[in-house]
Amino acid sequence: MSKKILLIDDDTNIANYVKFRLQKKGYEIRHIDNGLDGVDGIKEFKPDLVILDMMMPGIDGREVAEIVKEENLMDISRIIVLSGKEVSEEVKALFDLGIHDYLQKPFNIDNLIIRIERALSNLPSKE
Amino acid sequence: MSILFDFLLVFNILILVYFLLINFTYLFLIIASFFHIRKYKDIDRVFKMTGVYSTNLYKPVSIIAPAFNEADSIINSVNSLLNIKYANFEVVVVNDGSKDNTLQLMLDYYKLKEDRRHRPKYIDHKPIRGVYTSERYPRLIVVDKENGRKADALNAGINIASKDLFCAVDSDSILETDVIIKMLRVFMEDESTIAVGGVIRVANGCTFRNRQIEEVRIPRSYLGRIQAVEYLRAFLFGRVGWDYLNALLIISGAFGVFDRKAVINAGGYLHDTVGEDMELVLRLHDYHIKNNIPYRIRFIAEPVCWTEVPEDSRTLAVQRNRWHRGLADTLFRYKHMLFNPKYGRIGWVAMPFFLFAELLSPLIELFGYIYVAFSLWFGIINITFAGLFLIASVVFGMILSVSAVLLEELTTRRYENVKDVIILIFFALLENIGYRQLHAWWRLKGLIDYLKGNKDWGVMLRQGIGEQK
Amino acid sequence: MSSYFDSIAIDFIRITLYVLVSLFFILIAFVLVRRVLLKKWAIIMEESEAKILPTLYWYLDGEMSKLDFSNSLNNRYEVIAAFRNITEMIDNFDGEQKKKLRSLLNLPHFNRYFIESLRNGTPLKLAQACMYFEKKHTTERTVINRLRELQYHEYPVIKYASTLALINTSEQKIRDEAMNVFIHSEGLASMAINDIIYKYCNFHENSGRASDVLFRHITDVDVPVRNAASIIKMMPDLGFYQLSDDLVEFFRFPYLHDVEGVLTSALIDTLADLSGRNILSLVPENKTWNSEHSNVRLSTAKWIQKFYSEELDPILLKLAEDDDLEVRIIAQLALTQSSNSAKMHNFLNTRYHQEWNEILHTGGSYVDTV
Repeated sequence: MSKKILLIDDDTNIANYVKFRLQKKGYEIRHIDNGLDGVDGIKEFKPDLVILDMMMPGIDGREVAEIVKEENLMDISRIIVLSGKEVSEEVKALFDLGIHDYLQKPFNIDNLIIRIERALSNLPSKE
Repeated sequence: MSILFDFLLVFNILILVYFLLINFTYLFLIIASFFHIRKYKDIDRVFKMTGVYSTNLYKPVSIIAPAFNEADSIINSVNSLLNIKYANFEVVVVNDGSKDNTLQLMLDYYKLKEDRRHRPKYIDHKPIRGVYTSERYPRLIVVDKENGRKADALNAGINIASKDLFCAVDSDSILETDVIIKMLRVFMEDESTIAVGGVIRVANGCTFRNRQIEEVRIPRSYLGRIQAVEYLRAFLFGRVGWDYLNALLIISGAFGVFDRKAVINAGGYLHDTVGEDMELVLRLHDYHIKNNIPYRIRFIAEPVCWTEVPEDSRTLAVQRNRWHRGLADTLFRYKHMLFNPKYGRIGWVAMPFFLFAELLSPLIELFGYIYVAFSLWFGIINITFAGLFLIASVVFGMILSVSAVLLEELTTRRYENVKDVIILIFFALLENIGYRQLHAWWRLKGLIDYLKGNKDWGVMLRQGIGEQK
Repeated sequence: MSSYFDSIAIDFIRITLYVLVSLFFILIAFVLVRRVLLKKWAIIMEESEAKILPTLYWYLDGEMSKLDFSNSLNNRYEVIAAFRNITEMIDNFDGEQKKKLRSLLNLPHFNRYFIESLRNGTPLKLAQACMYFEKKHTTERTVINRLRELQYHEYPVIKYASTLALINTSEQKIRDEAMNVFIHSEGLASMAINDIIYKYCNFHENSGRASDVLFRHITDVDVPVRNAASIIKMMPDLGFYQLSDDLVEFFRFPYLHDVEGVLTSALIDTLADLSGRNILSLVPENKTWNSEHSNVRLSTAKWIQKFYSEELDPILLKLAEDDDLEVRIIAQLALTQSSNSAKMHNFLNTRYHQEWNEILHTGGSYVDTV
């Protein structure tokens, strides 16, 4: 069964291209453009990996991560965070929560793909 | 008898002249607004202001939100304010001596701690009981103070705020996330800009989700729909037109960005008026013109703040009564600007317009109805004329209202459903029969109350918007 | 007479009515037709986008050449959809993809359109064209010359946009000239200046040279003082510590062209950041605490507060009695650091005793009197 990746990002440009690239590699990928639906998406889709944007209108990335942690929706170490900010207090707080990795925007897509693949191969299978 | 006859005849002509003058001013404002909005419509898309997320190249902004007994909605409102997209901003919530647990809710939710620090008092206000900040939400400052009026709470907020600009909002309004970026564009165009107003629209009927507006629909009630038309008219072509003339006199208290220093220099909000928002703008004009300081006060049609309007006639009557008293009070305070050449277009166009077309219009309008009936009785005018005159005045009003809806349709086009637009057009027509006369009556009572010296705020019943689905 | 008047009035109103009513129906019809057209347009755009996006991705992945991509654009809608997506993606992407996207901007479909708008467009079109050439990092002579003309445009927005485009060219000489023209223009907003300066320094291959250029502009009497002050205020953010000695010299030197203390106060703020305590002796020397401009006195008070030293107490005492509240508060706060703070009220005018006592005693909490 192919691995499932959930992309939560309000930036559709990046999301569409990332989706295109990952689908070509045979992953099952879903894109959600806001935090609120993102939380629901995590519950329903049960992804192997979540790529989470920090800056989103409404419930932002950090809050999604906190909800995931509080409600124990999934293993928080299966989250890669995308952020427009430099490494700040906010990102540090996220690492304290236990996220897997962090990538600063604007980023190189190839770099993201590499990180995703590495994360998926390093993380133990969900079952 | 013939003297009376001549007198009435002259009066008829005066009414006709007034009617033409006012309506052609409105017509001019529509046309000016149309081109003005068109000119700026797409500029936000051209300038992305790429730095806004990451750098401190742009002026930082404090968003000041006074809150009084808003326990039901306060967390949602503050969350939505904290969600605004901008690099350098803070949210100052001023709890204006609420009698419910507004403060406690915030203290718990945001894990706030008292922040004891020296804070100079540039403008006067009721004593502050405590200032709270949170490590978890570094952008948030909560000020707890003794109850005063909204102006008082805003002044306290201005003192505590630390950024160059401040944005005054009603805490129960919903701001779109990109409003600050859009407002900042104006400050970027001209260094002397000291204040910018933005569009306020009726939130009733819209659905909110994820702390944002999800679907823009029209209100369901008669009064709600009428007000949707009124707000479009007031903001889209009233204020945009005045901005075009560089003679803007009102920035609504529910949403405006100001230069903090300029407001402090002018003395902050005035406590003992019910029209503190308009009063401040006029004082800024007055202060800068008197002291020969170059300045610009602007209005832009794009940024949008959604606000709940009262849908029952009693609350609405109280609100309009208060607005009219505020208008009367403000115009009276700045009467020296009227027809004063020193104030240019403000003195010659904007002030007279607000005096005759806004303040005195209910008087003139109601008087006009009585007068036409009277003239008819005495046979000074014939029935055809009277009938046509009435119809013309109503139709002209209809055209103005319909134009406002059309202007929205041609420029911002936020209503996605054509049915909504058609219904609004219908209500734009309907507004002029019945509601307009009722509105004139409320405002006339406001004028009378003002003359009697009533400075009461009245109570607005809130239904609470922004509930999450 | 009266019936004559009546009939004119009636005719007049009747005509107005006819005009208004017909206008009303025309407008309604217009809205409906426009909605239909817009809807159709939106559908076409969506279709075009759905068609263009995959080809754009193929191009990015190297499965399609630039020429093939260009040939795949069949109509106006597809060109618009392509342009919209390319420009948005350039902002968000980085690395190889960004380079490849940028090279797409050279396609004649886009280039021709924007050269035309640059030649004779409305201000909005001009601004759009400027932003296009900015993204493209243009070096075409004719375009550069036109952009230079636009630096003198009456709208500040166009001045800013054209400068931005010029700053983004690859030739340093063009950038220097653009900077020079821009910084000499009147009526610029400080935010726009900051933006340009920041980008100018970022693109400059030699940061030492960039700082020299900026310093020349600061000392140039023909540069409006507000612009010069903006540059000075940017210095700490840009990290130009090497300029601090030059700035100190400039601060010593009498600069008569200052307006309302703008330049002086900016210099004091920046020097407090760049040089700090070392140059505290300049305060008594330059008598900025005695300036007629409150902003200069405020900057001075902040400087002393930051690098407090007891021998400056007399100056602080003077500032603690300033007419300007902000200056007073800062100076009094600075005085609380003095070992003599308990006796300080003896030197202060009784008018300020209450203020001083509250600041001294409540120390950390708020002062509710003025």
